Amino acid sequence: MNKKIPRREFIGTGLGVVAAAGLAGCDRSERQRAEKPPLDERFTYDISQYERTDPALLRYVEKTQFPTDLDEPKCLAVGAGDTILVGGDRLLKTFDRDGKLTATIIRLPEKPLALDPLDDGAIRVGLRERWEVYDKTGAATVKSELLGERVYITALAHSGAVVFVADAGNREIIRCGADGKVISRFGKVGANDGNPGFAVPSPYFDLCVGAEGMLWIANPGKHRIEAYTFDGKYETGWGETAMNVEGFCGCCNPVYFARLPDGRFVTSEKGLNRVKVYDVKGKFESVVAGPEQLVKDREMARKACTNCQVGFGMPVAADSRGRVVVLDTATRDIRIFERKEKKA
Amino acid sequence: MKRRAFLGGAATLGLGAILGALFPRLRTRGTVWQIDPYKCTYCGLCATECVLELSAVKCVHAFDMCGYCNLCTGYFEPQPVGLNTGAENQLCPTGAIERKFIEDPYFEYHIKEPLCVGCAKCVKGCTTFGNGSLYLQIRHDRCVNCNECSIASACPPDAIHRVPASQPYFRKSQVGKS
Repeated sequence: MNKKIPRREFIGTGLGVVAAAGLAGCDRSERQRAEKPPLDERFTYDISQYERTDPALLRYVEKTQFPTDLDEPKCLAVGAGDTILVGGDRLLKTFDRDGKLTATIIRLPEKPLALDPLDDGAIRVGLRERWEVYDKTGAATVKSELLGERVYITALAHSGAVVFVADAGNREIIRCGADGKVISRFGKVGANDGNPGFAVPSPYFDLCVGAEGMLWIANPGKHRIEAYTFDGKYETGWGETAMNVEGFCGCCNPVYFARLPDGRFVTSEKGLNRVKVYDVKGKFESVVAGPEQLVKDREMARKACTNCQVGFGMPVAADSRGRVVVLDTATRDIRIFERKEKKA
Repeated sequence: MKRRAFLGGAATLGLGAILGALFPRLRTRGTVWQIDPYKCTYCGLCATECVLELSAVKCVHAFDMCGYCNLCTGYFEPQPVGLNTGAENQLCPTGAIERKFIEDPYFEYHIKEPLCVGCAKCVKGCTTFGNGSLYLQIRHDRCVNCNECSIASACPPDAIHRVPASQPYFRKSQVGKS
């Protein structure tokens, strides 16, 4: 026996159900947020005062910028005839000094991490745990042995038949023969080899051979660039820890460096991205490009560059004319800086 | 009003209340809020937007990513007077990071969670210069799992989402990104 419900009672009951449900369902979403004042400046990380470069110190001007067309460009070198070699993805690309891509693109078995141009036009390529040599046609002519456990190659250089490998994984330098066999290792903290030891907190560990016959190695955790004999004995070094422009900033810098034709040093720092020039004794001289030139929009860079979630470094090289070549890993471009003309 | 009508109305209201209370819980059952560290921009709102007096968001440390730096930019002021534990050198305004010597020149850093307010100042310092091993996570021993997380509503990069309660934390690592 069905009893008719009056329309008013039906609507009233329905509204009641909705109201009760709404009230009950809001128990947590409507929890009152404790009124808190905004954070004051003590809670703000601010390094903006270091992101502006004194214009008087900027003695270089950007002349050219061209794309690498690589998704993840990683390593850079300048070869014979000032050709610009860029490694990334699983490719090695060569550009002429004006940025025109040459025909040769070498396909690699894995992502290249370091490049070392050889005198005959071949190039030694550092892969994660080994290196390979490719001739002008792109054929692999030498393959090193696996260099050890936890090896992470970040830089290569050579003097004669000796190849120097910077291994950020084990924080040491590996000496190899041209045939790819390991000769010796040095520089590890606690190795009792008479060296100060390398502090390498992040996978940035660069080296190069100087014309004066020394092996120069970045010691980023100590904010220094150090000189070693080719058999691995510490000789000298320079560099100081500082946020200001004369020093090396952050936890671990410089991340890359190169030598100009006259022996001066070009350094690249991460975090506070800046490329600077030091004289042959390590005295600060000038700025090639500061953070405001290198990273115009950090948020855009963060999104553009998969490795830019954390402090990212930009590899540097120098050509025979003293131009500074920068691999911008955020925009994936090559950027070339030339010294400003002196005013008459 | 007749007694029967009154009781019927009350029962209906009760049923509605039960359904209303259950529906959001059913919707959110098995999930919790969490921050995607790869989207986080360390804006500081986690410290002020949480409904709790002391935010449920804390800094955590991925030790396998850490460089164990002597000059840790998550621990030290950008231009410290000295590389020691003096208060004037410390970046964290609440002193929530502990520095321990491991071996020359490496140090280990631990978060003292009761002191951490989730401001992300250290996260920004670590990520700007270092390996990004410090990052923010919502701690589920504190979080009350609001239906609508007030931090998520305010989060500029939309980095806070519901995740399965069986996997309540993002583990930041060198290998991959989410």
